[in-house]
Amino acid sequence: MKKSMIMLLFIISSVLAFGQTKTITGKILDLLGNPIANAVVKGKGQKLSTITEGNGNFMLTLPDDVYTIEVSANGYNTILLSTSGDLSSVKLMANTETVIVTGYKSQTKKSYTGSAAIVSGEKIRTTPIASFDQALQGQTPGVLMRATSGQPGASGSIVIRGKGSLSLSNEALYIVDGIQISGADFAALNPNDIENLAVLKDGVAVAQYGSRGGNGVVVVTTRRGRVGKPVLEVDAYTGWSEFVGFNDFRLMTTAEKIAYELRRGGTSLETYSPAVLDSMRKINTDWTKILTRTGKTNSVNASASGGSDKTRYYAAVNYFKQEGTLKNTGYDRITGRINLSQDAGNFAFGLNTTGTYSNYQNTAEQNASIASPLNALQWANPYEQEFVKGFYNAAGNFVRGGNELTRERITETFQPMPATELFWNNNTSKSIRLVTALNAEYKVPFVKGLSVKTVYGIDYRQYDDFRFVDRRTYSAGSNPRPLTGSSANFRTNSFITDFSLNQRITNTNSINYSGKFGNHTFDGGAYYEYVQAKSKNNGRTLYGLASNFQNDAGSTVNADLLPRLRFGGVERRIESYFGLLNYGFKNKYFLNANIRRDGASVFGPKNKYATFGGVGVSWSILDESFMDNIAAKLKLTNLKLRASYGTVGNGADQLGSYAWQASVANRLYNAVNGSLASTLENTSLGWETRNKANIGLDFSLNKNKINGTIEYYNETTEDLILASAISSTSGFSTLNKNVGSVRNKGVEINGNIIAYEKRSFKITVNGNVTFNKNAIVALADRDSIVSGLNILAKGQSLNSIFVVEYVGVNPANGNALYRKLDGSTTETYSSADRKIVGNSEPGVFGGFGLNVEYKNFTLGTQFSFIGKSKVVNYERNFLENPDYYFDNVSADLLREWQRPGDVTDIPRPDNVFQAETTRFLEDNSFVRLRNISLGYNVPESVLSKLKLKGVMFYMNGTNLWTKTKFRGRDPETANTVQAGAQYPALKTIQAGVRFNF
Amino acid sequence: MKKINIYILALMFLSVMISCKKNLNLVPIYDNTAATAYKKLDDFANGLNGMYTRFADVSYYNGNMGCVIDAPTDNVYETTESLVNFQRLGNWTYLENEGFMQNTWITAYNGIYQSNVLISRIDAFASENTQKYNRILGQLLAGRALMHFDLLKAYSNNLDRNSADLGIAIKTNTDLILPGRNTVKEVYDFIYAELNRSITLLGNTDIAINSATNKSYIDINGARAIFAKVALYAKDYPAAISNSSAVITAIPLATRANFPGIWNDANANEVVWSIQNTTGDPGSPFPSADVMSFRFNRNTFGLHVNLLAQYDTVGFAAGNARDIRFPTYFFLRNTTAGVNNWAIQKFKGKGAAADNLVNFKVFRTAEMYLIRAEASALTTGGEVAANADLNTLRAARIMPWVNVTYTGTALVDQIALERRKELIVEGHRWFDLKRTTRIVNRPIAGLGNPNGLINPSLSANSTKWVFPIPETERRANPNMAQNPGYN
Repeated sequence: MKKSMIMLLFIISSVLAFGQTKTITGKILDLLGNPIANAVVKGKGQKLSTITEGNGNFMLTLPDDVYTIEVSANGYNTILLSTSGDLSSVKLMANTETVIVTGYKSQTKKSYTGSAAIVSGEKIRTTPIASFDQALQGQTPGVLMRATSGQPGASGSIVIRGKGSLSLSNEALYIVDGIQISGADFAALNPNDIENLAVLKDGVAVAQYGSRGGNGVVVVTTRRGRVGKPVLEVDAYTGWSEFVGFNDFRLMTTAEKIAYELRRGGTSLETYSPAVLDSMRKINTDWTKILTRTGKTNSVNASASGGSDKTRYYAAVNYFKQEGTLKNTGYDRITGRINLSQDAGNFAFGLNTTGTYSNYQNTAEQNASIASPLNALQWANPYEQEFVKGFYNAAGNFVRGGNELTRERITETFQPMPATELFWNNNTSKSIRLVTALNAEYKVPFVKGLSVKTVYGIDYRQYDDFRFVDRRTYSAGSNPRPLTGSSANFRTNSFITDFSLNQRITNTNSINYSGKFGNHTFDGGAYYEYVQAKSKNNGRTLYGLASNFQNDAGSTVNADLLPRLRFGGVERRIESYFGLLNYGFKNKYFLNANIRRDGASVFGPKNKYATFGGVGVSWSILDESFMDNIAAKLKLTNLKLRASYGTVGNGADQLGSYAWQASVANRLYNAVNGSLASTLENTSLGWETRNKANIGLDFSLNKNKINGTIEYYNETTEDLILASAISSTSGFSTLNKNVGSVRNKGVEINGNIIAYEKRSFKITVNGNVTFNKNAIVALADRDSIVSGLNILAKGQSLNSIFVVEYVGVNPANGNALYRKLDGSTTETYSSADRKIVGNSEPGVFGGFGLNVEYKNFTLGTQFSFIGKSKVVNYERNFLENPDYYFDNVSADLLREWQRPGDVTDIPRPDNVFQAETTRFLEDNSFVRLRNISLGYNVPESVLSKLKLKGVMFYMNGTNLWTKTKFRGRDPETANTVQAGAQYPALKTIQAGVRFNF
Repeated sequence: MKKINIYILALMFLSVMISCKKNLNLVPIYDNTAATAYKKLDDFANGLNGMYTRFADVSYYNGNMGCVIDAPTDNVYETTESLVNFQRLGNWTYLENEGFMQNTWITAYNGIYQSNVLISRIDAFASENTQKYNRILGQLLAGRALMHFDLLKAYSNNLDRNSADLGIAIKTNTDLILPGRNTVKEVYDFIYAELNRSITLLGNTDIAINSATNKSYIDINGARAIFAKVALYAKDYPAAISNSSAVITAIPLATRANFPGIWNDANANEVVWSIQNTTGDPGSPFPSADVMSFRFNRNTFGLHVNLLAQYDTVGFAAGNARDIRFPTYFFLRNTTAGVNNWAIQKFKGKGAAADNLVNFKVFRTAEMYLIRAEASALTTGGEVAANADLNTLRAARIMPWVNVTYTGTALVDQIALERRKELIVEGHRWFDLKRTTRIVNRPIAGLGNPNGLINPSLSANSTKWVFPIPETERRANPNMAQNPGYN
């Protein structure tokens, strides 16, 4: 009341004194009520401006006919205000540089005690990639993002601060606008809609999410409208991608392969006459050329945002289409988003909603199946042709000739023909996703600082998958054959439809209080949260012969061709009570603390509930008076020390819905229902617990020109859940148990340097590196667990590779030589000689980049790298196993041992082949030019003529350069064993333009 | 005023915090749980059906212990079409981490667990209907005994009745324990007792277990057939003779005219028990996918030239083979470099179908004749009876047939040869060799595309005659001793 009186007086006096001008006063604060100094206040469209004092106060003289002022401050969003409004406590929202949205609360970066990496929406938007999760690659320390597939629409693998689970997914928790979404939904987000993205890493940060945050949390905030005129933005680009070949590896040519087969003998080639062989020698089919192509990508994005001081909106629509480099694969997606927020007195409402429709045409990956086109690329012999006409005679034998393109047997060796699988079959997945979150807040009017808030959100996904399998292809092998009628004993086509509904409801209710008492600031809340995830699926397979219909209309249902039906469904629930407290003292000492009690349906009755919590402290050293001299010398603008410790749960999301229970499944025998035990019970199956300690130092030197963070973390997961080996005499070979613990410790360094800045020329360099050491600390009742090529052993990293060392070949007899544990060599392979020869958990990873801005041009590069990582290249096993010589094989076999005295590394072909040796162990460390971009901003002089706010032309190159020793197609695999059928990351070039209206 | 505020606050707090206390005790939607699955005898009948699905598993009679176990024998050779999938098995280069041995071990013990769950609970429901109880329990006991026996014959060395060699672990409870290996004798003692009890129970049931055309279950003849086979392996010839005789009396041999119909399930003549495979089965109801896959037109195992020479193929080309088995079991798939490659069509399909969906015959009367012949031949004064059985079987298969009489070793060899010819890819040859001569001779030459066959023969003292206890078991259970030659 008093203030408005004073203001009124000012206004009256200014009108009286100058007639055509007016003077306004006000105070600029941050969201917590702290004054902001040096904020710029000016009348809209005016040149004259003023800056706020240390207490946030300002006074500005304006022409009488100017009714809008613009307030801007470094690190805060600029806002426009009406001069007729109350300016006595204008609050500025910090922009992404300084505010951390942790999902439940926002905090200024200064007061935050946890470890979080922020990626701004701007940075994400400038890297055009289909799968948005890849935006994290090489950009944030501690986050190991690997784009494990180049298949359009595929999502990558994200591991935050090392793998902490043995058997459960190490996927992070994804939160968008306060509600949980799936990793697949995360990957399918429209990159243009992102305001910012925070990766929460340490104990106090993730402990808020107690039950689900064990693997780290990725918090996405989508764009909001801002007060002011509508902002329209249109962005469009088009791109071209190439299929990546092998690195330092090649297959045999026709001439080599025919010669090799004839030398080895035993294939059908040796029965052919020289004339036939000569005609075959003229064929030199390039299977890569037949099965792959240049894939085109197109994207158009349009958004509009704006708002008044009460209502704000952001609306966007995006269309994205990407052709795969493997023919008949591709992805297209249309995404719409509306974000609305409304202030209504003591109430505030918000709605964030996005819908996506996508269509995914895919092929099988990461397998060793002979029906996978990606394998057949390698395995198909170069003397085979794409299609051969032929038919089957009454005896079931293949005869060349006739008019019908043949069924599966069109190769010499009875192998399926890759081209038919790709061209005749069809595999599509259509999905509709809806992520919507409604929030409402009520500020209790009679207690200042007290508010009640509720967030209710749904993540809904529906998949409609359809697969057509042509009867002529190998995949149709298990399809039935009608016994009567004209098509008797011909295999049928199959029409496979699967439909699934998945929904996850998140509901968070809270009471919050924030206040300031002298030097003390409080922000705390009590929360109740409930997450319920349900999914249901049903499917059918119909069979039929009508070749003109490539869908169910072509099917037949009769006694020979009975449809197959599938169904299923699961549900899980998590319920939590928790409290959060953020406390600050003198704006330089901060404490964040939280505690929560979680229950989850997936755990056994004895251990359903657990308590987690975290505490973090930070100290803004720069704010201490003793720092004044040093700060001035180093031009320090930030120096903060942080430390935190927290415990988090894991497993509630990842574990099978009924993992602890002794399930009994329905199984048919003799066409009669039967029941069969499918799992054993473990009533004490409980939470994995992660203990996370973190210490970090943030600094900004030389007037913000050098920014950096150094952090050390030490995380131990206890009560690891593993399908632990038990004596099979119990009926099962594994039981879900809590066994042992694993530790990840490491150092993260992140830096950002403005190397040169003069007038319109600016060079910035950024880099980050993470050193991670992963080790198993304990395994409940044994020292090691071996599964396939992997071993879990105390003191060793997860995914350690356990094989026999391959030494070479004995020149005398061509036998393979192996190293025994005592160091001697032997020709006898023994599993007792296996040892740990490396692991596939990268010990070091990170990224670096260089950005140059000159006048209207920008040039950016971003590299990412992974080091100290091993992988078993099992793809080579299939291509170097001499017993697979009926298919195409590695050209390395040309130097296999043939006669005594041959010195070579490839044994004689009839030596017993052993795949589980170091012969196929490779280093898949790499450095990759993830992205290079060139942008040109049309100058303002041109823009004003065009009546546009901004036009930018840009070009992007993705994955254009890779340096690795890995001999496969792509070193960027997250597997210990690269099984085969790899869809390599794409090499892409894109060109686009962005308009601002 | 202040009071009202407090009330409002309290109300808000309550509505927020206590709004919804959720139930976290969820049960599977599409599954039962062990706690609720078995509450009346009909439920146990369902569970019994579940036990049979284990026999039907691809790691059991529909695969590993059915046709695939012929791979390391002289009955078949692996072709180039096989993708080298059975190379280690066929070459006797398997080690303790071999999937074949792991899966067979796990599947059999899984079936034993399934029967243990039911056997340990069913007594409480006996009063519901004693004969029905007999019918269910009798099959459970016979099935459990057979699974123990199938493990024994694969993972133990000396299979004699009183052998002190390491047998396998007898498991009769559902506890999660770490058992060691019982001796072979102890395992036999257990199997004998179980089969005796089973035969008693199955002699007094409420309804017939099988029909004339559907032999999906182990009835009293099935239990006796199991007993006959067990006794033969144990060299307990009186028990082998008495049990096989009972089956032969109950189920006569098929006529020559009806014989082909056995293999496409047109009839169930002379079938004692077969694994019933139907389209709706969610598993892999294709017993021979690994011999000759008609579905994928891929031949994995061809007929070995050594065995081919033993069949009387006269008249085959004219469609009138003397030995009815030859055209029934085999067809000429192709000719490579002048060598005929004969593929096996024993599991082609039901009726006219060529889809491999066909029943797997676990026991047939023919085997009972061969068991009785062998047991008689090895019993003092039994050679007449042995010759009679051998001639009866040959007369049923070969036309014209003139009886021949053998004595001594020649008689035993002839019976072994007839087992080979009659029971190829039915899961016998490997174990027959193991319990008798222990020699495999399988020369490579002239076979036509042997794929990766490195070792042409296996000697009697090889450790490969005994399968390794799987590495997974040994790592989980230190009490389970390994067989010689493996880690």
